[in-house]
Amino acid sequence: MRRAILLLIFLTVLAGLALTVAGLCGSTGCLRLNGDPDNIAMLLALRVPRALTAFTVGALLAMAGALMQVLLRNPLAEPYVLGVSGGSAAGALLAMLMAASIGLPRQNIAAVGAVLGAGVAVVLLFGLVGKSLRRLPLSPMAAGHRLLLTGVMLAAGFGAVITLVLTLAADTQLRGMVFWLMGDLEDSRFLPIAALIAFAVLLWSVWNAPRLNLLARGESFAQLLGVPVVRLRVATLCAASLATAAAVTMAGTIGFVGLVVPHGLRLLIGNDQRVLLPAAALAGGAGLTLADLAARTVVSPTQLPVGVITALIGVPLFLWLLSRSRT
Amino acid sequence: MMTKEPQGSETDMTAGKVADVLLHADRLTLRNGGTPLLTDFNWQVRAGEFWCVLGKNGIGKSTLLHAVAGLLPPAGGRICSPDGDIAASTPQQLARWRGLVAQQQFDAFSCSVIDYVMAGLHPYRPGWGWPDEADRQAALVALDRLGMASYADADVTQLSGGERQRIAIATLMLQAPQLYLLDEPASHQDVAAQQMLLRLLRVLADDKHAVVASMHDINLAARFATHVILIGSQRWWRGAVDDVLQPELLQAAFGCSFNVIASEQGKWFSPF
Repeated sequence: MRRAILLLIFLTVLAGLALTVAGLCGSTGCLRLNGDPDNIAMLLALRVPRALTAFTVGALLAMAGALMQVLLRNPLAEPYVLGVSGGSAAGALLAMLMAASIGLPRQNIAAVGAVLGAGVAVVLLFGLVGKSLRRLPLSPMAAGHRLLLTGVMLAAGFGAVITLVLTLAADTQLRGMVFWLMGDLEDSRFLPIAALIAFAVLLWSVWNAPRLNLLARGESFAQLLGVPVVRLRVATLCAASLATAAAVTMAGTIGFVGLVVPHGLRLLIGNDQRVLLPAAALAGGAGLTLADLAARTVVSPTQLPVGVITALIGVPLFLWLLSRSRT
Repeated sequence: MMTKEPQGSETDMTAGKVADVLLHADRLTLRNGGTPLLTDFNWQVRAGEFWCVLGKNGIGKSTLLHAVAGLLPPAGGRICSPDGDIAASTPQQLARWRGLVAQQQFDAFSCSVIDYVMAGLHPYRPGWGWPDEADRQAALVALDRLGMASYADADVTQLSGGERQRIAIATLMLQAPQLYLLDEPASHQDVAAQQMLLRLLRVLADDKHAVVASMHDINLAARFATHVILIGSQRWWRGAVDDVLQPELLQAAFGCSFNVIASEQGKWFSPF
């Protein structure tokens, strides 16, 4: 327990440092305290919300990933695997396409579409797997397969919708759409709501962490030890979907944070959800904040999409973790 | 007591005796999809009894254990704990009444053996606290009784099938329910471990607890069990071990003949 507290303190300090550095530094270099106060204030007003947005999205994605890995009992699951992000993206792109064709302002329409798309995806998922979620799998092996396959199929369907919209979109829209898909932390209008959701998901999952620990060892195992598994699984799926939808609505589909952060942390600190879930929130937030800082500064003044950075770091890191795991 | 009793005449008993009954199945009907497995099965398990469930593959042994554990709603009838119908009990009440070791174990995530075993304490510590030294000691004692104490810090994903099964049984012992349910506990064990395990189960069935285990080894059942349920297709026999383990009943259930060989350890059933 002392180790857990030390680890969480260390990660909190790391997150604070990441936020500070990302708030102070940007494409025009780092702020100095003896500079022009107006300039400092202007740059802070740009950089601080963006750093906080990155932190919140990273925390949401990492928690959603950790919850999905427990729910599906698969250490390689990630927040996007069940099609919620696909639904969001398809909704956002469809909304952009329709807004352009009937001349609506483009500003908020993508976010509205993303929320609606995520809602459709979750409703479809629950409609298709609700029955198997309500039943306990008796064989420990078959757990979650139906949910996983249904989600993968939904994601494939939404992928087709996305491709279709990209094909139909006018050239002038295409760039905006592609950037939305790659992930973009510029827009901090939804930060208060997303931060609230992140906080709520964190509280819920830490409160339920002892029960999630048993769920990770098997549905029947948890039920036999007194965990109301059916209710817990539905609630876990809701929490993970909500976190994913909030993250995707705010920043598009930024990959690998939800997969690499919880998986890597599990290899480092073990699989106790009481520690893992808050650690994932902190490390995911800090990680995405730093990745966004890199995206803004590495080839400045050009800004890279942050999804490219997370993929460039995430892919080799994940392959390395995979090669040193025993199975 | 011996053969099928659909009328369920055993329910009228004196109050003093009812307190000892840990499990009462009333006109229990179990199906696997559309196939009927057990129909109108009445059954009582009292403290101190060690029941073995015998029968061919797919005849309903696991289904019976899962239904009693509350994992599978029966197609008909009721299963009652001393607190009443288990369909109306909370998961936590059930967790203190019964525990089950499944036939197969599967681990998706790494976990140390001792942490795994301490999960058995969850029904008594549902809150957020970390396990203390006493919990660790209790887990080590349970592991020691199964000969697994030296594996306390090993990773469950690294264990052999038999070792992994003994870890699951140690978890059940820490859970310490009134009714121990085990689905083929001897199946992955070597011969020495089988003897150790069955002796342990016999001890667990004391004046407050009972054990129900499905088995394939008739001779282990004959040596260690006090009572036997023998399930055949569309019929069943239950009762004291010597009453049920008869070559003609075994032949009716399994469809092969049995020689009975008398030995110093008791009767041996040799199929041919």
